[in-house]
Amino acid sequence: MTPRLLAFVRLLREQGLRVSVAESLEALQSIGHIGLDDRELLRLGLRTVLVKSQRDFALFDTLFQRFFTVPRRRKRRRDKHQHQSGNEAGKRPAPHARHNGGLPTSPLSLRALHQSKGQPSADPLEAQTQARLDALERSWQQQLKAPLGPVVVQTEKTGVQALQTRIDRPFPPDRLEDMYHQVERLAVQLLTRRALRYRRARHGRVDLRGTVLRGLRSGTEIPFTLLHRRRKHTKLRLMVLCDVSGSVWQVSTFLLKLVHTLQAEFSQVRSLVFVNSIVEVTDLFRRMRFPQDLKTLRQYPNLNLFGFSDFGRAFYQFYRDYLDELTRETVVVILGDARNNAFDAQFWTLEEIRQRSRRILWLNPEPRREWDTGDSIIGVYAPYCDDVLECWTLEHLEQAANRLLQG
Amino acid sequence: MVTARPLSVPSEAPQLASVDGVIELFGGADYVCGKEVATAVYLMTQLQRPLLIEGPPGVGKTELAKVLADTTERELIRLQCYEGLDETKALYEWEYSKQLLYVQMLKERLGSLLAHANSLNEAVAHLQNQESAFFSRHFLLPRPLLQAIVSPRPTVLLIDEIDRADQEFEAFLLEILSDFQVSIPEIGTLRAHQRPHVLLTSNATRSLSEALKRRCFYLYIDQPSFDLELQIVQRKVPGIDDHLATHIVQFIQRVRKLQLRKTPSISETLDWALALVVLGANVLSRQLIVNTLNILLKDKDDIARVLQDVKR
Repeated sequence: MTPRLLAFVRLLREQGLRVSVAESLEALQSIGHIGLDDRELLRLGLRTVLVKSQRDFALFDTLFQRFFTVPRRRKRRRDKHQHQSGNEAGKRPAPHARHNGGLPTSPLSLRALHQSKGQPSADPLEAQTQARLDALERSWQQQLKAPLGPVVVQTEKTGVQALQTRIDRPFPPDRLEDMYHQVERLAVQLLTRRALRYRRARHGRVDLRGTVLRGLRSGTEIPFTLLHRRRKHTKLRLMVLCDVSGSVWQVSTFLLKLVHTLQAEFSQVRSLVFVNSIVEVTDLFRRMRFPQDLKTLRQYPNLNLFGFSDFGRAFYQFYRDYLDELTRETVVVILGDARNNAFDAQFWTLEEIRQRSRRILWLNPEPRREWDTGDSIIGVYAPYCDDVLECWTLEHLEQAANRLLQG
Repeated sequence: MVTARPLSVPSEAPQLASVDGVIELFGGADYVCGKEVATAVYLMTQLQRPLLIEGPPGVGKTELAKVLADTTERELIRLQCYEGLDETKALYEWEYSKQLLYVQMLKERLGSLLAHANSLNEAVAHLQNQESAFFSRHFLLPRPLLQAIVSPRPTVLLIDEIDRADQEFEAFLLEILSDFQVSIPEIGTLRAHQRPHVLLTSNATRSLSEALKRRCFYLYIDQPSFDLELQIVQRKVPGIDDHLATHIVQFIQRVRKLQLRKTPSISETLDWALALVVLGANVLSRQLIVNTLNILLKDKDDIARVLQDVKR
């Protein structure tokens, strides 16, 4: 069973699941406990050990189905193969090997498999078993190579490419896959850096009352230990409002990806996207597998991706539906190019939103020189925002994230 | 000659012998579970690995730990995580006031002990010899993690809502989970007699670190299917009419499909079913639903949404 399991693990890795060596060992051990008799149990057992996120369950199940099933046609060939090689007087394979999705059944317990792998055995039944298993293995391998080939090649490339992507260039449209990786890495970097800063800054000013009290408690008037006041870190709430019309779609998804990876640093993150009317996508992004599921967003109900951007209308809807959700801890992040297609700007709503929130941060995915050209009315909205930043490279995105984390 | 048996005879705790065994044993403790849950529990007990349980709130993650402790006759030790949880709250702390109290009470004794000292240096040396008395296990206040390690009885350690703790705490936890030993500088290394069964629960409010996940087995408990939920209701609400139970579960399953802010979980189903039984209901009438919906749903908008659906 070992080589077959390893092949399965390799398949999982190729499909993007992270499986460590220790985990594959555990998988092997768990098979020892569960046995191979019950296919369903095997699936659940392997999944428990190898898959560490519910998002990946569906992928695992599909791969399991593929890997541990021998199609009927192949099976017949396998039988023929066995007859030709003429092992053990051409005995018909035991009937139970024919159903059950091609998995070896009860007599072939793991122990039997192990032994048969290691030493040549005298037992005719075992020799037959071995031959059958080898044949199975071959058919599995054939099957594995065929449909999954292209995917394998693709995943191997990304690592090298990712390194070549410079962060101060505009987001290259042909390397989107890598960009998501980059954004993810950026998020992790930000998180570690921040954790370090917190550790260092945990102690605030000297707490005089505490110091004296502690001194008294130990029966002396001399305060031996200085107590510091703990600094309180209030976590911010984040309301992200993204334009996802064609021109800024990419940057928007990067931003959404980033803030949701940084989710732990905020007490709440909510994402709203709009072209001409607002749709809340918080749940989608919370569980999202990037970038595969961007398609889901594209086909999101009520989201008309082909409409004309209407910032005024989106802001008005936000004002109408979400104003009550704003608190003094809420930072509103707006991402968009403010190209309003000559619709009503409704800038007064932004003023209201600002009154109710902590800050408004506007990220514009256009270079600064293009602002206020054509139908861009960023200049109309800018006075109501606390910060307006350009955001068209990864470096800009990092700056924006830093600004966010500062509170 | 009869050889003396060790004093602590390992108790004949029921063993979780197979996946079906787990289902049966848990069933005996009124915890109805599917194969998914049973497989994960069976494997974690067999291979002695921590089990990370995720799922929406109220599907019985914490309950699972309680049942596991009950059925395997282990002691349940629970560590509730929260923001700012640190080692002194999770692992151990020196009992400062107790130490002081002892010093006060032993003042005279100390006086006589140091009476022979001729110089300050000598006195300090004397005291240093006694130091270990004040940093012994008498003055150690074990918190849940240490309790689980030093407990003479086998334990189930439940680390509840790990996603609420800080990421630093997660890293600290890794060390404990891999070796089950703790080094206390003043005492030495304490090792677990018997590895605790460790369960971690998470509501997935943030994603946990890869390192932690790698060390754990993983179980996702979802809202129960119709059959499972019906079984649970029948088991947990004694004296409920079969007909009523079916209706209740049907209704709940439909409510879950609506887009609500907070979908009712199994614990809320049970509360509701219990309430209906207490009210002496036999049939789930529309009026009854309207009157008791506040037990099931705790959000104004959600209630309105469901009522609208009921009217149709």
